[in-house]
Amino acid sequence: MISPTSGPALRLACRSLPQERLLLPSVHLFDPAHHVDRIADLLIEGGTIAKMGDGMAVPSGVEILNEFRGCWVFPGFVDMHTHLRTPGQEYKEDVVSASRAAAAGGFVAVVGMANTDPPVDVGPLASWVLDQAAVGSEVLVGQVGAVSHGVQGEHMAELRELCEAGVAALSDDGRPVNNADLLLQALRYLRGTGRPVLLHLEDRSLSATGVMHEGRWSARLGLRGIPTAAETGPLARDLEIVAYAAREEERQTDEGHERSNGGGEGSGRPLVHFQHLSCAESVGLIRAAKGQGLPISCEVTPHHLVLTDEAVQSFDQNLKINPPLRCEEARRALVAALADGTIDCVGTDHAPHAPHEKEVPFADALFGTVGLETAFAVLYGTLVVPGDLSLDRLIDAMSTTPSRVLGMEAPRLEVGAPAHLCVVDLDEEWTVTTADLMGKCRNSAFLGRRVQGRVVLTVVAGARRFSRERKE
Amino acid sequence: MHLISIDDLSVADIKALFQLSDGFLEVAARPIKKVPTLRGRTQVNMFFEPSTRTQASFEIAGKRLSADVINIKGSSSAVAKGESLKDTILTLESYRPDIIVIRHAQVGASRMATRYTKASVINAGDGTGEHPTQCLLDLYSLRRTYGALKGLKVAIVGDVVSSRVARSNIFGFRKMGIEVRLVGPPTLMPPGIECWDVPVHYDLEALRDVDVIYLLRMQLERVQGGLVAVPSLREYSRVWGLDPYRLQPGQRVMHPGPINRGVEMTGDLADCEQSLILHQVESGLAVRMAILYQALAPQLEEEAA
Repeated sequence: MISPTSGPALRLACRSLPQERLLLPSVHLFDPAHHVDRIADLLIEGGTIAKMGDGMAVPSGVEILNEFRGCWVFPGFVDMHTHLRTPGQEYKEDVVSASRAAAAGGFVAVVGMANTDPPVDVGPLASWVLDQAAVGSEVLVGQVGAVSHGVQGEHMAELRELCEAGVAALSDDGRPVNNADLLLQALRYLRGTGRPVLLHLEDRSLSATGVMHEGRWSARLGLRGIPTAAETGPLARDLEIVAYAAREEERQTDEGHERSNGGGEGSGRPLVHFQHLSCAESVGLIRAAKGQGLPISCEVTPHHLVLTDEAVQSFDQNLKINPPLRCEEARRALVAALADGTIDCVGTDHAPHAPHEKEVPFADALFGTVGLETAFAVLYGTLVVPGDLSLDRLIDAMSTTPSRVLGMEAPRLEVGAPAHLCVVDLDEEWTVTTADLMGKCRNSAFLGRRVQGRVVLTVVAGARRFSRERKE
Repeated sequence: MHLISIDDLSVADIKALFQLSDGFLEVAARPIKKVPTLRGRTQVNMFFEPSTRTQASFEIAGKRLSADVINIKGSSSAVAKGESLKDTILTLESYRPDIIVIRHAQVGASRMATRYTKASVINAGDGTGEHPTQCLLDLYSLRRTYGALKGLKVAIVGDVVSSRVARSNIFGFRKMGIEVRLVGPPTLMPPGIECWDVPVHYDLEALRDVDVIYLLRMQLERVQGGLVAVPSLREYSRVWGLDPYRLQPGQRVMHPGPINRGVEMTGDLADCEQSLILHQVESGLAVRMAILYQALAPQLEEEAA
């Protein structure tokens, strides 16, 4: 009944470098979403994957990267939850520094959140960030536009203009969209643009002045807790709103009809994506909603997958995170949900903060940990090696699925595809130190942690953006 | 005979009104613009909401038909002292009016008035409900411009959800064989619109192949009142405002007024050659004379016989 409209194109930007001619001899090509799992040579030329094969004749002028023999090659990682901190908080991070952190972690694309200063709530500001990326970023940068004016959660931002500027999604991340009418109207207003809304779930009347998970450890330590209901309450409500909006879209548009029938362009693209889930109860709600076919997706952070509130007894301010690190049962539920696909993808919530914002008593510290540099190694070492998560699923959740959620072309190991990939020495075990953090800030929840799997090379658009000497 | 909804009229009724209007249009061209048709009849205009063109149009129409016309305004009547709609109608009913024309902020007010009066009630706009006389004058304006209505393509653009004009025009236009499509932000389309079986488009691209672009007034109070249906007038006018570059040669522009220049259309567009806006107003007078006549036609004919 209603005409399909092709939404404005998503804009991703990075600085252009001369395209290199590189040969990776005898590497393990691994791209589960595209059924690639074999040892072969990989030739990068003209910005694309030119060849994949055995015993390749080396064309002249090609640099042979022998040092990476035996390493694994993955489609480059995509982080749909990064705080680039620009404009306005460049003392914490900027596009260039974040892109270095991203490249060091094997990411070929990151998407910046809009809760900057001023917030990215108008098209020209989104364009400005992307222009910065086009000049200086090592990896592809996408930008999120705010849902509400000033991320205040009251009045809708000029979402059409943001979409025309090429934003990847709309989100007030850092703050919830607590006004139900605003959420419903935004979902309607965005119809036809193909852009999802990313939701930070937090009932602020419940989280209030809490600084950690409300439970055994908050009781013991005397820190004010944040109950799980602060997340699950808004989640339950928002699922109802998404269901309502999706049913309406289904009745009114071809796109919605296709989405609900699992075909056509609308399929696989969620209306709403829930960010950084932290609770076991949230997993249950998501599972039930997906069972009903709701067009939703969700993410979990590396820190919620491996750390718990018990660690807060160290009073390490880098463990002060929102949503907070929850209990062990929650952590296990999140791991299981990521493994079975209930949770679609991993988002780092890379949240740099300066020393003066963290080196204060725990309750006074700002929320957040950096995460781009360590995401893969933390998850591989802690979850894949012991067998709690398959490598297939991890690569899918860090690359293919976030691309699908954002409606961008997923990095893939395929002849002719753009060369967006990373090379990882899966055997190297290492300890996270500040020297491994390439962004402007060092507030990592993983400092001192033993991890496994070292990103040794990141290639974006056929050029090396990061490389590390491989340990023998 | 009441006129509350456009659904009250059949195609034949509307065509009969057009014929009457042709005659009254001719009256307006005379030096003495008056006919004795409604001499001795009393017409009460009750405008509980601000109005320029509709009220003036009904007043002049009544006077040219020689009716005794009185105007009651919400702001300067007992309504301002808290009198209920029912009591106001009952009070006026004591004067035995023949026609009551009602403009009211609440949907259904004119239908309610019919319960308390023997006069013919004409709905001159009830909240976000209907505005059937606007629909009829728009149809008449189109008929004067194009000759035939059947097969015309009209896009109704803008704030459909809060528009009584849209709620009359969509159905009235289609009744007369006009192909109607709606264009505007999804948030300004009424939820449940799929039941109307009318094509809805979210972008002005859909205007390309229509004959007529019917712009609705953006209800500014919806934006300024803190509702979130549209982020800002700036974005609305940038995405859904009509400017000369989006107007194809030969297309006509209509608007029920009052115009927000610079919002639903650029300032100069209302005055361009392709605009039918003043033509609509002119048509409105003749049509409302026809409507007033038609409202009393059964009893006039009875008396004549």
